[in-house]
Amino acid sequence: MGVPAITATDIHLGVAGRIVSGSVDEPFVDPVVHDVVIVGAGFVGSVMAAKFAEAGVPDVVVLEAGNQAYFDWSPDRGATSPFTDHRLGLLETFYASQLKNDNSPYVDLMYAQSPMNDSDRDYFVQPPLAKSPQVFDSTYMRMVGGTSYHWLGIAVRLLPNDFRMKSTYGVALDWPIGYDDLEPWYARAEAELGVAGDDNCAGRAWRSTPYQMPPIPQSYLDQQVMAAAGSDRYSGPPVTITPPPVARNSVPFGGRPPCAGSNNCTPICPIQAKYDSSVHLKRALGARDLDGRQVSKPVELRLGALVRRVVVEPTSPRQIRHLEYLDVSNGLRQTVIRARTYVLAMHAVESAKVLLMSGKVANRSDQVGRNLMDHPCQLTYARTDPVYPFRGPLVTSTIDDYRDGPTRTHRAATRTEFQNLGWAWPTGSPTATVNTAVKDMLGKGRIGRALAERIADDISREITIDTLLDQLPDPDNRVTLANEVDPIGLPRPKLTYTIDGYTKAGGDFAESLCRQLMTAMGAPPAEVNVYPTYVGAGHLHGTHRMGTEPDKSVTDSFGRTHDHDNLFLIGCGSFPTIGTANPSLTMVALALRSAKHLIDEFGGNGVGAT
Amino acid sequence: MSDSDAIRTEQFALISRLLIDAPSLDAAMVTVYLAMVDDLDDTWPITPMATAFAPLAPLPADERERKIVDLLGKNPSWYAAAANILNVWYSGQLANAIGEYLVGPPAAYLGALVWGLAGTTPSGMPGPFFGEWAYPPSPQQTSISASRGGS
Repeated sequence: MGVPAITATDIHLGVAGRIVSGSVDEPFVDPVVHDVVIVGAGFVGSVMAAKFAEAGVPDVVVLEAGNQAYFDWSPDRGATSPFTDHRLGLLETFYASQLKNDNSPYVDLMYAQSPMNDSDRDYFVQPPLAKSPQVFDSTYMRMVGGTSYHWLGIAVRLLPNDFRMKSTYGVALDWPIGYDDLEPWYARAEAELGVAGDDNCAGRAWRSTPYQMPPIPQSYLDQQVMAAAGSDRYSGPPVTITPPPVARNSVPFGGRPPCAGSNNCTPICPIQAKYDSSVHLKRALGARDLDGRQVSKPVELRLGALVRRVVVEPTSPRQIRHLEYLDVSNGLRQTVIRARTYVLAMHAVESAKVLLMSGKVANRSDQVGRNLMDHPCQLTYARTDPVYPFRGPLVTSTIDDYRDGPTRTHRAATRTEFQNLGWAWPTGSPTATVNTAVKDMLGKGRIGRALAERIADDISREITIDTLLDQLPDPDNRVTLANEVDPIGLPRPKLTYTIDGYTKAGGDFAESLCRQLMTAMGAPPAEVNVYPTYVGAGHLHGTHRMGTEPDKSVTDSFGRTHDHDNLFLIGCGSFPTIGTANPSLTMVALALRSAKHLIDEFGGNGVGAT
Repeated sequence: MSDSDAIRTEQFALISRLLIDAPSLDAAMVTVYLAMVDDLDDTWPITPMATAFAPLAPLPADERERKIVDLLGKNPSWYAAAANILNVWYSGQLANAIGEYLVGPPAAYLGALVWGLAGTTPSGMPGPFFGEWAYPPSPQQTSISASRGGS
């Protein structure tokens, strides 16, 4: 296909005519028409880049806003030189940070801010807390590897009915594909990431392949919950407490060690026992396949490449003409890059934001930015008989019994997790627990051993149970462009977000279940606490959903936009509905499926034929 | 370190040992936590506190605790200083009057006594063996002496 030449006059200003930076008169135009440009080096971008490299697609460029990789990736390192990781530096940053949260180890870039759950540095524009107590509460990272560095590692599949909510339960809508369509890709995704799980767990979707590794041992805490749930002290609904499948090694896998129990999956696994996207990014950059064989040509990774506009070919609107990005390493120079195929994989908010900044791109349906979803988490916490938290991986058991069933006609499905992290989530333990104990004991005139025993006792009995709630798509829950701008003049994402009665009904069910579990574990009923709002799970979905009808969805099931043949949107934003599965595994399965689809097409077009 | 700094550090160590009732504390952590406490307020009454506490050191623990608490009750600034010292030793973090945590060195978080009391290692540091989390910590693990702060 022909791609017309670009001239300086083709370069457009920022939204509403703002010049964001650089010189509009002297844009740099990359003279090469690449085969594929992928935007975003997170889960999707890294996996797809690796697959393209393995398939021999000759010219793949990954544009990434982050300005540094946390591993040595210099192209002249030689074929046998390892990619040296720098994750211990991230750990040190976490230790030294003022706040200890999901994003603490990572750099919040001035020119590409990340939402930080920190009121001083909010990136999202939302109503003030006083007017809307329920804000959108989830974060993500704009960095090489994306949010994969601080995901929890839960690699659970969606259930068959999650794909057909309308036809089974009369709510929301169906996906254009079903579980059976995606199952082979789930299997491949698990093989790529390496998943430790129990093949015999009931209540999960059918599978064609075994897990790669045996399950991670359930914690002592989990065992106390199981004992309580099986006792006559428990009078709640029946529960089965099993280890979730996790992309966290239980034995050496993929050249990475087994979990060392450092209780730090989030925000940074210090030894990479947990999968993160650097695995595939290294493979893409080193152009080696799973067996370590060299493939034809590594992909090119451009750091500090802040994509801000997708430009449609004026004479052929079904084609994207080029992308515009700001090149941070060249003083935010405006740069044009062209390709035969474009893949936007910037996560749900950023992909939608760039499309909205681009004007009428891929948005015939007016669905871009809409149907923003998360898994609102219901948090219950109490002090029970001793459970000894803060040991082992952050989550080693879940309740999957209520992920599906006829109640989904009127109540959100739930998936319940036991946090091996004391009250860290709801209160900021252990620091907050120490502060409270010091204040209380000093007030009682006790210090010394009595204080130490009090702290040890308080910590040993802390348990938090979180329940992920299904959230249905609502077109009014959406990302739009705010009038407020970021430090370089680009619009910040404005989020409009509410949680409806369907989801709250699931929260009520979860609260009742957790209260009864905690009471059975020895907590006085009056001392079981419920966090006052739902908290975000970091599972940002929707905003460019897939579907078969171009007037109601943005892409087809492969992520190809209905409006533009050469533009793909792939990621959590593609999900029409979300069930109760952490999204990353499904996202990788979709990415692998789309990569194969594209590779097949490239073969037919003579691009990257192998 | 100047002589006056050395004396001040020793005074801080003495106060910390008596508040915590630990026979000894990691010397490196004494320096780290003194710096953090000073960051918060470098005018706190370290010398008067140390002078008043020192004679109490030989007393039995219960009696010593009562006398120290009496002293703290009579001196609001000492009481506040004691709270900060205990907080920084146990949690490795210290907040100012409006609740903002100070930025401390990585060692501050790693050396917090709370990890030993919880029978665990600091977040991000490996446990003793794969799967140890399936068992309760041993009583020896849940003590001040199990943390880096004790020796």
